[in-house]
Amino acid sequence: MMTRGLVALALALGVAFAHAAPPADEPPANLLSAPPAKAAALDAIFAQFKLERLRCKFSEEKRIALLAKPLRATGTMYFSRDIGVARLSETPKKEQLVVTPTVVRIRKGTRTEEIPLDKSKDLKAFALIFPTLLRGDRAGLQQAFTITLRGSDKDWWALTFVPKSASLAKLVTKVVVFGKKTDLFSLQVTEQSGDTTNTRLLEITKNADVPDAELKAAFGLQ
Amino acid sequence: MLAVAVVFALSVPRLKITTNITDFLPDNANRRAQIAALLAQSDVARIMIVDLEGPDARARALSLVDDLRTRPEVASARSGVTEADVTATMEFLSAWPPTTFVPRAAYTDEALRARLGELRDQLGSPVGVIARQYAPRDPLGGMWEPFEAMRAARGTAVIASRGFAAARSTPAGSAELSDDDGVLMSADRTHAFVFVETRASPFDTGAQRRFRARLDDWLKTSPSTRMTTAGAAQFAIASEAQIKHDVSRIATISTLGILAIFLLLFGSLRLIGVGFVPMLFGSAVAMLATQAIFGEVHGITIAFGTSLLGVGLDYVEHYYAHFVLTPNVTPTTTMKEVGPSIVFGALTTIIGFIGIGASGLPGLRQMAAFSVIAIIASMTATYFIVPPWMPLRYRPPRTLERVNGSVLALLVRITQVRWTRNRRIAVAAVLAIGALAGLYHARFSDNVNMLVEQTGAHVAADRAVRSRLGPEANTYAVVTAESDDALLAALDAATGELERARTANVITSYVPVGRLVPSRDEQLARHAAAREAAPRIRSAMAELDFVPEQFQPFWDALAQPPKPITLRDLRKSPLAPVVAAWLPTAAKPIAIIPLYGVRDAAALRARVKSATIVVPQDTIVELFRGVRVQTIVASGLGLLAIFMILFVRYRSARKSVVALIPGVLACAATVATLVIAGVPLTILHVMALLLVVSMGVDFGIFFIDTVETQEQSARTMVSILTASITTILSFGLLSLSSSPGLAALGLTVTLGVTFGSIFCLVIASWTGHRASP
Repeated sequence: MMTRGLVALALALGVAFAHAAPPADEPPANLLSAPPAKAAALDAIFAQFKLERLRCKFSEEKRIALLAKPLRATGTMYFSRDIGVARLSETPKKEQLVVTPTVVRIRKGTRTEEIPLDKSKDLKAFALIFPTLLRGDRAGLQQAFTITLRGSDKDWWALTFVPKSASLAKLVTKVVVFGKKTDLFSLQVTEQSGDTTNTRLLEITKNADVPDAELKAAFGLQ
Repeated sequence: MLAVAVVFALSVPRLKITTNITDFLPDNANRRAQIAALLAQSDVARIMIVDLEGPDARARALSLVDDLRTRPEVASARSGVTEADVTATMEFLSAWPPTTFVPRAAYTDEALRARLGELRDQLGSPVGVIARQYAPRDPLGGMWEPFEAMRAARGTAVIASRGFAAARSTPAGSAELSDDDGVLMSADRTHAFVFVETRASPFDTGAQRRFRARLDDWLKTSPSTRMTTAGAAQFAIASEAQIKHDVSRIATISTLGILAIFLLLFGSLRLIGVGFVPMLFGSAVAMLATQAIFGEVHGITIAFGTSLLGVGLDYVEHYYAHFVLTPNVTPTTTMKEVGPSIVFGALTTIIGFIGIGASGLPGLRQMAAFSVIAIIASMTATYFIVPPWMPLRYRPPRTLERVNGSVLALLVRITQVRWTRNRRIAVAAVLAIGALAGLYHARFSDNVNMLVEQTGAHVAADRAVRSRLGPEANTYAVVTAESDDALLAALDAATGELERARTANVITSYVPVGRLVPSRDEQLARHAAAREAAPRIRSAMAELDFVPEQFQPFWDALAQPPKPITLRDLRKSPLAPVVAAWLPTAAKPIAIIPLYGVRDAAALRARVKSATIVVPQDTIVELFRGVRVQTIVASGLGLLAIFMILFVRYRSARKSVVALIPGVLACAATVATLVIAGVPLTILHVMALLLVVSMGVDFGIFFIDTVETQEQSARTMVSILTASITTILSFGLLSLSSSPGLAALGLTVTLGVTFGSIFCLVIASWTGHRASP
């Protein structure tokens, strides 16, 4: 009886623990409600982002009010300091998306579409958050966003980007980048409509570990 | 005469000079001719492209656009597409019902699923935030259709839409261009392009010169920038400069030459002064009348008119030769003797010019009107003004007597030649065979480029700038209608036909102008189709995991009565620059659809019945061929008319034929010479030959009228030689013009007049011995 009681207690505690604290590889639930860190702490975070290259798997979930079910996508993402970001989706459809400082190029099969970023400063600021962050260009990001850090580079941290301009705020309410120590963990975008996008980054490889040929292929340069 | 001088002096500053090349395009009822002229005058043709090259080309382009926009003489100045342009365009497009731009074909189940699937993909993309904004009201993506139409534009469209087309992508085969935040640039970023439209016409050379000077002033502020331009204005400026140069050169040298000849032959300043009066009077009257009739005077008319001064002098010279060489006869009596020949000669020349006027080209009509008026006025002045001003006592210089003596000796010699029947037949046969061989081997060219100088810095600059902007369309599908809405309806039909032609590989692509704005009926039909399809749209949405209730703005719009967009709305919108290029404002509604990769114009015409397929260059060649044939027919009729007039006067077929011989044979010999020299004959050669015939007939008349004695014939020959020399002085100089058209005119008339005077000697030889006592 006691054993059963202990098991029940253990299970109950386990359930309670599971509810009270996330698994060890997820940021703590209260991270975003923690008080912001001092501005100086941002330097340490941005210092680790002065990357040359990066490759990671991604798993994304979009919750859009227009859709009854979330949209999920998986694939590989590449960063090149000189070019920008390439996102190669594997599911639900094969798609290559390249973001450079001037254009977003989307290739689906034989069809390519280009969206010039200079025609919308807001879209440009939004699309370039991730590559600008990976370049460690804090000043560049601060032109369009108010940046707040919660946590520290010793453990979990969250960088919150809140648009400064009203026009950009009509597109996105905030963008949060989660990380642990020197690793990126995920990106969370909340749109003005309430739609959210959570992108989990996995199997991150940095700098010289990303082969030239692979990087070029990802950007469609060969 | 004094009144004319005063009016002329007062009018000179008000004379409106033009160099508009379209004046030399036929203005007949031919639909393609009208369209070709319209294309030449369209907004695309009016735009000046400024190409700035240098390390800071982008910044300089922005600076230039800012500078130009402050100038009152500039109607518009822009480079690429700015964020403000895009925002304004999206605001404008989203103000219309979401069904406006969605084709009816989009409402099949399959098409609906495809469009909604596309929307879902967009929403799932990292840039889905943009699609998200418009999706609740426009789930089928109609608003993007006009953007797609602009994206399909390229080449000329880049210019036409002042960079709008380069905003999205650069299609294969076109120049690599990029739009850098409102500045259209070459891919290597060393060239930035600015598109300028001045309020003044590009053919208003005065305004364009002033504008060019301001551009040069602006350029001085940026020494590291190199500026090159393209557009009609620089051609007009270069053309005017060339004509001015030709006119001043011809006027100066021919005047000096004529003065020298007059001085040498007549040796009297008074005779020189009086001799110039008819020609100056004729030119002044012609200039004033041309301005009054046509509202402007073309530069080529002035150049041609300047050359005509020599012809206007022929009458005076003919009179002078007889007056000076018969000092015992009073001036008035001399005029009574030679006057009928002068009037008759003028009449036949006028008939020749009427032939030119019938050519169907407004520019040539003006030249003909100018010439006819100038000839009538100078002939009248010669008849009435010159005799009373002749000196009562006059001693001719020995030069003239010597020339007269030599000519008389020559006449005596050549009239001794016996023209047996066989010899006449042999000579006539040789000439006929030569003429026929010449005509058989003659190469005709109706390419208008043959008439315009294709060299020079302005041409090189124009080509260089345009090549950097990529290929331009050289074929257009042109749709016209009675009203804007009828035009849009016709455009719908033409777009469908063009799409089928594209699918059939007859053309590579076209600018889908019809997708910019559908006709009113089509918009109503689209709205009705969307309402009818609403339940199926909901089903398709549900099938693709959309939440239909989230699209309430769309359902609300379907419930509202339709609000059709009109061409007028579009012309007042941020899309106006595009509309102006493809749907220009004209007296009659017209749409111009640039076509690319046309493989077979005839096959395309067979497939596209709702539009006129125009290849401007071919059309113009075709039109000029028609004009040339028309002019040849008019010349033949003119010749017949001249023969009739001669016959009425002489009552003798033989005399009439003899009077015609110098002109007709000179014409044949000129053609033969040009053919042997390998010169392709153009419309201007044909017209020049008409002049040759007219002047040759003048010579023939002068000669036939004065064959009572060999002395009289000699005096006429002196007048003919003098007239030939003065004409050659004028037209010979014109043949050195760098304008191929003017040069062709000059060369042909020079050859023709030379042959004309030679054939006068032939008829003198032929007829002289019979006429001599």
